Amino acid sequence: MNAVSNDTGLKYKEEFGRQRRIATNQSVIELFNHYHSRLFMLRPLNQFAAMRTKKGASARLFRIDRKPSPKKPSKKNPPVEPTAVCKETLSEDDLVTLARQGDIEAFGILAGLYEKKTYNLAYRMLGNVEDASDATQEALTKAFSSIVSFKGMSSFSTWLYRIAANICLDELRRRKRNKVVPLDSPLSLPDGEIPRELPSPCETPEQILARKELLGDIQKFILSLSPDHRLSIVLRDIRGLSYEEISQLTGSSLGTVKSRIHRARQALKNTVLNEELSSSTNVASVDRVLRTRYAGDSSGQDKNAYHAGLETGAKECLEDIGVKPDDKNSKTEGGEGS
Amino acid sequence: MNCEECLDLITAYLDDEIAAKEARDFEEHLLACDACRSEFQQMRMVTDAVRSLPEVDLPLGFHGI
Repeated sequence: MNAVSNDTGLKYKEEFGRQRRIATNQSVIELFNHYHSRLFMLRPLNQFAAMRTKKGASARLFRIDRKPSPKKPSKKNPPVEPTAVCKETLSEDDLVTLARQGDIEAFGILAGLYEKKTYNLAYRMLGNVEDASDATQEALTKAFSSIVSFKGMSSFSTWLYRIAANICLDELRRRKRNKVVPLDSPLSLPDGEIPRELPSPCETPEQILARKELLGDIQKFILSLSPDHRLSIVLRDIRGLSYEEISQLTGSSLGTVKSRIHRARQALKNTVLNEELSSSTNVASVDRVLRTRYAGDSSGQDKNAYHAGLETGAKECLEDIGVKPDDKNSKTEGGEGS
Repeated sequence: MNCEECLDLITAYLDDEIAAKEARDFEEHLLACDACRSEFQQMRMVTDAVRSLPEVDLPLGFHGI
């Protein structure tokens, strides 16, 4: 298998090396268009991975531990002449420059540096392996086709994450048609909204959060957040981007970045706390509202109105939050992968 | 520092995006205020849980091989 894969890698490397020599002055866009259908048939990253040097491709495919790469040359050092032999030692800036000039191998090396991080961003946003894998492939393909428009205003990775984040948000918008309601959204009733209630006062919030089973399943709660909250959490706490980097990525001010992260964490915290009494709390909320609306303040309780309202109102409310009668497995997405 | 200012700084403090002087004032307020300390601990527990999520490997077949 090793030999076959290396042969495959060499084949692609030779093929694209030949193409590069033929089309020395072609832009990457022209190259991409020329091989568009073929690249897609073969899955684009096939090439990016295989076009690495034989050693690099082998290490990635078969997970052979390698010594850390030698220190990247600093910006003060003179740029190294790009040859096929030493591209892996080039600085990221040099690789980006080459990629913008149409060097597919340079782009392949860049893609290899960030594909796993991009995949993790997508996985935490989308919650399953297949969608995350597709989103990552799409992000790298888009980055490849638009690298000439990358101006270097941010780092390459931030630029790539922005592409991936937008793809994930698009996917979440498509999913919205399935009416998956984030647990941090208010309950909707025909004549207004009510906030979801916090759990039992018997325990302090810290005691509830201290239960391992709740925070141990934090991925589930991340996936129940709204797309905007989810993205804030993923960029900051999964990807570890600074406020400055997130500001570049989203085009928002630092103040906006901070307040979005703050709101997202509060939403996540409330979602975890709400989980404690998820089903019973929802029913209790409906019950409380119906009592308030149909029982009357001083003219005595109208039990018939209350029970009629309970039957219709509770059904609507539970359907609205995605819980069908006799369906206790409401809307959990995905799970831990890898 | 009052409670409103303190609560507003929780996120920046957790992200180490806060000036040293502000951080000291923030910590002093937390020591004196149970409510703010409770809110801070809750936010920190949730944030720590997210940050402790392991990095997942690329799925087999990602490169089509």
